[in-house]
Order: sequence, then C-alpha cells, then structure tokens
Amino acid sequence: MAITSKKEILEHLDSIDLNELLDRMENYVRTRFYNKSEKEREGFDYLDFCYNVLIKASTGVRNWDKEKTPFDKFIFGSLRSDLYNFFRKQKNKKNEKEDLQSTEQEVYLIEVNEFIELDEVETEDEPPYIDFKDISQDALKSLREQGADKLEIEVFECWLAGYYKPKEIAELCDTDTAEINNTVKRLSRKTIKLKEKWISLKK
Amino acid sequence: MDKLKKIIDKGITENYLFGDINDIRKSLSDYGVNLEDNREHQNKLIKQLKFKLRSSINKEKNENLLLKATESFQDAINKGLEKPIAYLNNLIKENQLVVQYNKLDKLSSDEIKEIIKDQNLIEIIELLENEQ
Repeated sequence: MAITSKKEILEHLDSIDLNELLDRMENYVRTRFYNKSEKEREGFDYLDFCYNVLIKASTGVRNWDKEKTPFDKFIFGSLRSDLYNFFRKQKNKKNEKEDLQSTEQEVYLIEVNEFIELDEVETEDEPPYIDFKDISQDALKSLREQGADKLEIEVFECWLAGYYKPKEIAELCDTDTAEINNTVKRLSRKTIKLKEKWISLKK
Repeated sequence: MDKLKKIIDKGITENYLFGDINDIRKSLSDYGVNLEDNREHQNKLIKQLKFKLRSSINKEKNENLLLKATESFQDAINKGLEKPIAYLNNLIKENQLVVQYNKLDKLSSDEIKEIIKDQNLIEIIELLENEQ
C-alpha cells in the first residue's frame, strides 16, 4: 500500500474545492438520517461529523492510497464506514438500555471497535447456482411491489447495466440530473427482498 | 447477492459524489440548510483542518530532525570527534546537567534528544555533517 504523506494530502486539499466536497458529504449524511427519530438526531451536527471524517482521513487515522483510490472516493468510503459505526453504536446503546431494563442485575462490558470497514463485515456469498439475472429480476420485482415509479426502475436498470454517473443516467432516461438526484433519494429509502431477506438499499 | 449490493452501493455513492453540485445544494436547501451560513461554518472548519495538518507536518519534520541530530551525535561520540563533543558538553553545562550527564558515551538517545531539543537542529546537523 502506497500511503500518501501528510504533505501530499495538504497539497491535494489546497487543489480541490473543499466546500463542494463538504456539501456532497453533508447531503449524503442527511439522506442517511431521513428515517431516524428526532431523538436520534438530537445534538447531531451533520457538518461536524463530515469534518471529523476529513480530519481522520487527513491526519493518518485512515490512510489514503492515492495510487489505488481518488481522494473523493476515499473520503466517501471513510464517511460510509464512520456512519456505519455511528449507527451501530446507537443500536448497541439502545440494546444495552433494553437489556438493562430486562435484567437489571446483570452487567455487560461491550467492546465497540472504532473503525470497522464495510468490507470487513461478513456477508453471505450467494450459492453459485443462483443466476445474477434472477437476482436482478427479483430485486426489480421487489422494488415494483413497493410502488417504485418508472424512473426509479429505469435508474436501477441503469445501475445493473453499469451506468453510474448521474449525468449519463439522466441522458439515458431522457430527463435532467435534478430529477435523477431525487429519484436516487427515493430509491435509497426502499428495501429489496432477496432470498427471503430484506436489504436496505441505502446501506 | 454481494455483486448486487456492490452495484447498489456504487449507484448511490456516485450519485452523491458526481451529481451536479447545483442539485446537491438544492437538496441541502430542501433539508432546511442555510447555504450561506453553512459556507461560513465550512470555511472555519477548512481553516482548522489545514492548520492541524500543517502543525502535524511541522511536528513530524521536527521529530525527524531531532532523530537525525541525535544519531549524528551518537556517531560523533563513538568516533570521538572533538568539535561535536565540545558542542554537546557546552550544551550540558549551559543546561546545568553536569552531574547527571558526566559521561558522554553513557548518554542514551533519549537523553541526547532532551539536551538538544530546543536548539537549532538544522545548524547542529550542518555542524555534524561538516565534521564527519
């Protein structure tokens, strides 16, 4: 791994529009919070959260391999990982509270690992006999059942076909990027049922 | 299923990462964000971020210089080089550390670091390089 030096990171930060990057990060974080209760949002500062991700990514807590990943993708990876940990901690706290209520005499020490990468989370591999086409069709069916509109289905089909950039998706769907942005937001709030398991799209 | 998850992840992430910035800001505005106030707050944080990074770079640079000077002094002591030893003795006297560090060859690298840490390290390194 070719770790980028702090000096190189500083040079890079000087060369990019950090306001724009922070806006993109905050927009993503706010979307991830859409279904959280007022209580869960209480005291949460979206911009400060993004700033802390940047600090960690710039001062060596996380290491950027500039030969492997562009800086903005590395930052978004870090952001997603930190959000994953944040929500997991919240869930643990909630579970702890519930456990305390049910078994007040028991004391648990729970060690929470600060930095778990999404890639480290174990996932089940699909058995080889399940065709990806079938999986894709099931996912689309699942979206339709939840009332996904025409554009949501089209955007999802674009992803399946390997188109990811909002601009090219907008061209393919004969609409504008603002519409695609809103559609992705709606899509990310849906879940799909695969192999009897519900999977949230936003995670 | 992993393949589909990756596709969905990529689709969602790229939307936020490469979407038109005006769409992104409109979306923030829809969330109730005052873009002007937010920009002001961002600018403060960006300034802080760069300051932290700069001071961390300087700290590392200084630590490297200190390490280099210390190693050079240890080398000079081992070789018995007159000038560097005299310089170090002088620093020890100035710092009133005579009793503590009366035998130079017994000094550990941490002790040398302690003696020279507040000096002009670049000047010291130059002196040692000239001597060696």
